[in-house]
Amino acid sequence: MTHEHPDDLLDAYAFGDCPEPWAQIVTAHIAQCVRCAALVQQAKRAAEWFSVSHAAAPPAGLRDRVLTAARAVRPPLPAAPAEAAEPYLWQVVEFGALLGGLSAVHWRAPTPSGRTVQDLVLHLAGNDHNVSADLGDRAGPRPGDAIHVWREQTDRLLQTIGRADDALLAQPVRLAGRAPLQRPLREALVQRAFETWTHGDDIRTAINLPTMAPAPEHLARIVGFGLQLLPAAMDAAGRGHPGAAVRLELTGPGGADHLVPLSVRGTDPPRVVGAVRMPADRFGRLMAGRVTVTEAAAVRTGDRAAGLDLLTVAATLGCE
Amino acid sequence: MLMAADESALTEVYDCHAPSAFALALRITGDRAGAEDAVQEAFVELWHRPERYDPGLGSLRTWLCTIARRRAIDWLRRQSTQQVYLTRLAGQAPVEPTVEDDVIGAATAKAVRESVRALPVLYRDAIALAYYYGLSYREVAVELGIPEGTAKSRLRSGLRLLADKMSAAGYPVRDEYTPSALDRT
Repeated sequence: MTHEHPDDLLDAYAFGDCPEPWAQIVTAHIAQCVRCAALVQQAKRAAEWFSVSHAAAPPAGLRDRVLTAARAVRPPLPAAPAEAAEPYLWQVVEFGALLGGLSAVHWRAPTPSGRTVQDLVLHLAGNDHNVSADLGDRAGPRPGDAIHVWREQTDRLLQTIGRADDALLAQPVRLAGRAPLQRPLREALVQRAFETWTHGDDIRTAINLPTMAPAPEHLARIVGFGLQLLPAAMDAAGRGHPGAAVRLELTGPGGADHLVPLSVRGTDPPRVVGAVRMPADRFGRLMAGRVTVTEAAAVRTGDRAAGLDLLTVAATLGCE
Repeated sequence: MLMAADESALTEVYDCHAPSAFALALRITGDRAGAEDAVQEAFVELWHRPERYDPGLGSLRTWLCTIARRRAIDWLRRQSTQQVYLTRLAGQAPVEPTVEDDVIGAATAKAVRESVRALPVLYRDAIALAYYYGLSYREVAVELGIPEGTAKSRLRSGLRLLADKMSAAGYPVRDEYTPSALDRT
């Protein structure tokens, strides 16, 4: 087909009248043929113009009928989802927009973990499902394309959370990650945001897009989630310093100064032995295991070994 | 926010784009009930599968209108009465919009209507039959009583002339597509 132009298909394709598999043939062809691409562009532009050339007020009842029909195929979220779900909700929006733009080639691309984009999305949906299953939604999404499985799972989780009250937010659910931990739903939701962000950036990296940090207040909550787990994790890793703490100075959007105890044991208040300074979003990526301790290029002052222990253990707080 | 099943996003998108989709569907079906069904299917499809809309390929309005157009054409084809497309086209009175669109949209709409009106009727009919009724070159040829090759060349020439007129009016074909607030999902 390399020297043939699918000339008779171009206008139909541009108007949206071209069935598969011919549509795919045209898509592939115009990616390398300037002449045909220009003809498609010309017809597509005309179609766009025709779609805006007239407007007429739809009948008054149609809006409600549309909303009713829409609800029947996909239940909407409650109007004001729980504030605790907000970081996750925003990551879902970003992740969904990212997936919507992926080509077939993109779906097969390898990500930093070695999984394909497709398998990564299914993996994320699986971890999302662990949380909704622990809340009682055992069934989970129907099998299908990764994008549909992921979206159905996020719908189900957000539906289950709904306008969650304090009692629901306190319910223990599984956290993703190396250690089999259970934490309150409130914290697990922040981890959902954390993991969705991490894998969103994995996909962006796989397809040569720049990474995207969460909104500052959401990043701050993700960091806070990790720091809460850190003292116990340091003891578990054999790098605890009982009675000691490091001042973690996170800079940039989402940044703040944190006093991080280096063990769950010891004096209260702990003795500050040093400081570690770095941008907040880089610390988030370090937590996710996407930036090594060396790459983190944190500035360590005071007890630099204690600071290194903090960073080394922080790098294990991710979801894999 | 449509990705996250936010219903207020759907109502916002409906209020913004339904008038265009409805007007298009109505031009195709000539039937209000058929047009309503086509519009409903377009918005429900967007809600059900928001990931299918790729902002890189065009505006949300165009996307919704593409679906509504397809559904309206399918509706028309299911009608048992034999369609005489050219007669239907001739019966369409030139419609001025009944809804005030945004200022920029209104200007574009006006430019499109004027450019189309200025096309030679042979080209205009070929384009209209292909676009509003989804007719193939062969079907257009039958409607116009001309050879298939002529139908295709009239469509192409018509599109080229339309592009020239729109370009002269300040709307080039090769626009760098920049998403606007209208595309927020």
